[in-house]
Amino acid sequence: MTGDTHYDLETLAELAEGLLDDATAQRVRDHLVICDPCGEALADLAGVREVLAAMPVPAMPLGVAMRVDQALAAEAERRQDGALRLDEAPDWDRIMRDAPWETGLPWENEPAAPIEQAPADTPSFDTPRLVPLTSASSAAVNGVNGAAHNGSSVNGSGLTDSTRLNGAPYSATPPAAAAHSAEAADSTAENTTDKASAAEDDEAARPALGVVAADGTVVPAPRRRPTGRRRWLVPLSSAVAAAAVVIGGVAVGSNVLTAAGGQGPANEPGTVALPTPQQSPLLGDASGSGQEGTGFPVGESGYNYLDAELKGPLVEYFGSMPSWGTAADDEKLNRCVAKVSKAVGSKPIGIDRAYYNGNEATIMLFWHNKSQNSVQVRVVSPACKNLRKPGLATWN
Amino acid sequence: MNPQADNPPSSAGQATRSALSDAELLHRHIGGDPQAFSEIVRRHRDRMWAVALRTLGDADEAADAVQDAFVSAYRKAESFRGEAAVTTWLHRIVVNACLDRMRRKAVRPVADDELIEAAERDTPLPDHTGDREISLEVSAALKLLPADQRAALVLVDMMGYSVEDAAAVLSVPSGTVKSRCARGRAKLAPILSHLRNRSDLTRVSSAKGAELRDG
Repeated sequence: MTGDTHYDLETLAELAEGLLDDATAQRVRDHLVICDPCGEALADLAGVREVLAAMPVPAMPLGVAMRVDQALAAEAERRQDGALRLDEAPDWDRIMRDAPWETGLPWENEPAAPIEQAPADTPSFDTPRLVPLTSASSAAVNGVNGAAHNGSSVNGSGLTDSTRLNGAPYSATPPAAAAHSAEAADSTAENTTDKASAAEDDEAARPALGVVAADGTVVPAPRRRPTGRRRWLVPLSSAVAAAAVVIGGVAVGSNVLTAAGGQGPANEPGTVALPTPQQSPLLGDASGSGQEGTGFPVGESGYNYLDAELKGPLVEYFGSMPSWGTAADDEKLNRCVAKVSKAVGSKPIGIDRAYYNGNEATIMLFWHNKSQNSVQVRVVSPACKNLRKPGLATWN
Repeated sequence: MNPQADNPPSSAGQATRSALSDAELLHRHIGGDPQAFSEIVRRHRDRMWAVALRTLGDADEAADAVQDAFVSAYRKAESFRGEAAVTTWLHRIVVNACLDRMRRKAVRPVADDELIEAAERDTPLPDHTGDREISLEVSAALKLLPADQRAALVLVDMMGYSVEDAAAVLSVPSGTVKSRCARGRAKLAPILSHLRNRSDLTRVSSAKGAELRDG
């Protein structure tokens, strides 16, 4: 239909609906009197209504009706149970926030054993203690991480079982020798946790996990945070493993916890160096620990951060960084961190090599105002270009 | 919920309930009658199903949307203020559930020339077109429309609701409903004209004329 000689379908449809103003409507009607094609088009439009109206009204299939009934029955049950029912799993992060393994305080008020008293090769803690996951050998650690990086199959969910099976021998391994294996188990297990949410279903049924101290006592291991999305690079400080993982007699679950002796920040020997808001590694010791004063907590979670998450709270993502580290294996990152730190004017409290909106990115956190629980967030590309406007976020 | 003293026990309740209006049933539901909402569902589920199926054009999607909608209506029954009919309110929830699903799937708007192409491509052989094929064709044609036009046409042309009722369901002015219907019909006309011609064969006059016109 060309505009000059005929009216288009939409105009004709509007005429039929009485949507045209009087003058236009009159013009179209006048045209219809003499124009067969437009008359036909108008008939087509009426035909659309006919065809649509003639469509049979389908009855709801029995299967769908039953589905709806079931959904409503479940809803009714929920309504009856009312407030007695917990819709969601407990917020373990919140509940456990003040637990010693979260706050970094030694357990049971036991005095922390000074690092110097722990011989380098024969770890003997009189009390079990949670300390940063450190490596007995950076080479071995790199091996572990390398494996995790290179073999994407490592992340397969099917790994839960094999981890579990592999876990069994660990309990029989002498503590010192078990360090690597335990770490491997931890690294793997955490990957598994990342991918296999099914593992969480096992939580209730899993035998209690524990940490064996050198004296043979078993201390129950705490639950790991349910969101196992982190895989921290193990800091490069050398250390000695202290304990083996014990599985309530049966198997290793995904929540393996290793305890290792090692050098924490020099001014806080033997205690946990988790950067929490109360205990910032920066404020606690900006240059004295770590490696030649350039240490910073660096992780590689591989997590894909979204904008909303980077507005905080971020303690969930950065709060359990195991210890200090330098990205010694990555000069480029070190330079980038130095550059950004200089721009910000302080040292980072957390660095995560991860993703931002699907792009490879390094997330750097700096205290903006610690008393106001505010951190500055920088997101940079591998080439150290800002991927996101520097923004503020809440810490916790 | 506390059992209510004025709720008759089950068997007697069943008979009583079927005599109640939708609004009364909804009030009973709010008051804790565990069966009241089921009665509402029984009354209206076929219509809700038809609306969802036609709006979404996909049985699985429609089943999900209807289930979501009924559960949502169950939960927010208190929000029903009685300013509209219960059926209007239910329709609104179903239509919104459908539109939400369509938006989430981010249906790409289709240009007019694509519609024509689709019509030419999809035009089946005239002979073997039974009711089911027509139904599929109409369903496919509807899917080519933008969501708001589709929803308006489903309510007005297919379900036979008045423009005013459709406007209430869609929460837009009547004029908007009319305009959406007009634009939707204009897009469907070239696609569906051959269907009408075929139904002309069985129904009324002018098969000859239709053939002549279609060339």
